[in-house]
Amino acid sequence: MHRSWPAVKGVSEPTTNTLLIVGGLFILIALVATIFPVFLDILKTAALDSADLVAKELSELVTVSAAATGDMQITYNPSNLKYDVDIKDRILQVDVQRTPDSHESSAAKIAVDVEDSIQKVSTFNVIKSGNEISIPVGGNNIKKISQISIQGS
Amino acid sequence: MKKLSEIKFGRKGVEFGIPMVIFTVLSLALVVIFAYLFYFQFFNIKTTVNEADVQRHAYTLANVVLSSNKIVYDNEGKIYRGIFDKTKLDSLNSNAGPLFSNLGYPASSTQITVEDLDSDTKWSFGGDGPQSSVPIQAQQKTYQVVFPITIRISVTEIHAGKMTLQLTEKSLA
Repeated sequence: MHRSWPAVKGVSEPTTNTLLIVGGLFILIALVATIFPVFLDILKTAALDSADLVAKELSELVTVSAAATGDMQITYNPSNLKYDVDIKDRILQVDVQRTPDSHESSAAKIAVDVEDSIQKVSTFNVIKSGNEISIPVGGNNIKKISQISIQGS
Repeated sequence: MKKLSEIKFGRKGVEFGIPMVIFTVLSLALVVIFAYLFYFQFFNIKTTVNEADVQRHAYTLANVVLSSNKIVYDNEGKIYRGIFDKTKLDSLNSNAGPLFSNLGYPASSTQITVEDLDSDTKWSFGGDGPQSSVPIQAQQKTYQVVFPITIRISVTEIHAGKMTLQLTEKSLA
């Protein structure tokens, strides 16, 4: 079947082609401009809830809690994913199962003596009470406590 | 009925071909650009975090030292952050064990220098963190931070000073 471009009186075929290309390019640029922020947002989310970043941030929060001169609690909620955390020998290990097929694992250093292990947690409560630092599941009820809440992605 | 060789396609190939080729090339280019950006953006974020490890550790450790009752003045359980006790500094100068026995990153070395800016007195001591239980990188990095402090000489005398903390460590592999 023979098809041709719609006839436009007074406009030659090369001009029609050029107009179509310019129009196509305009649509593509508009599409990229629309998709790009969404794409960056997905990228940012993927980076912020990664096991690597959670391990680094949580290890810093555990260490820096030792700098508090009184009792305090830091609540850290990186994402809705469920993380497994194991702290031993001043190494904090984070494991996360993003999908049934993808498993991420990362470790980070801490500078103080803390030993703890928690499973399937999305919100962490770093508690300093006296000279003890712990990450109990569900937090703790300490009187005269300073609370800091950190929300992730 | 016409034979296939007799059918004239005219300039159909030319008219439809050029835009199709351009759009195909543009689409491919877009896919490549997206893949490139995705990979390198993600890679860059991870690299930045890794590169800042020693710096962040140095600042965090310095903050913990500024609040440690092994070095700062404390009275009746109250810790005076940032006010170093001269008696404790003298003691740490000869034996830094009490400060570093439960403080320090694995596979790292910390050196602290406290300067009394009013009397030009210096205290210098250091310690090593424990061995890492997980693999570490061969290359070690050093970062130094400086914090303003005060030094409690006696009940009536307080001097201005500065604390320099130098952290040398090997990052996790």
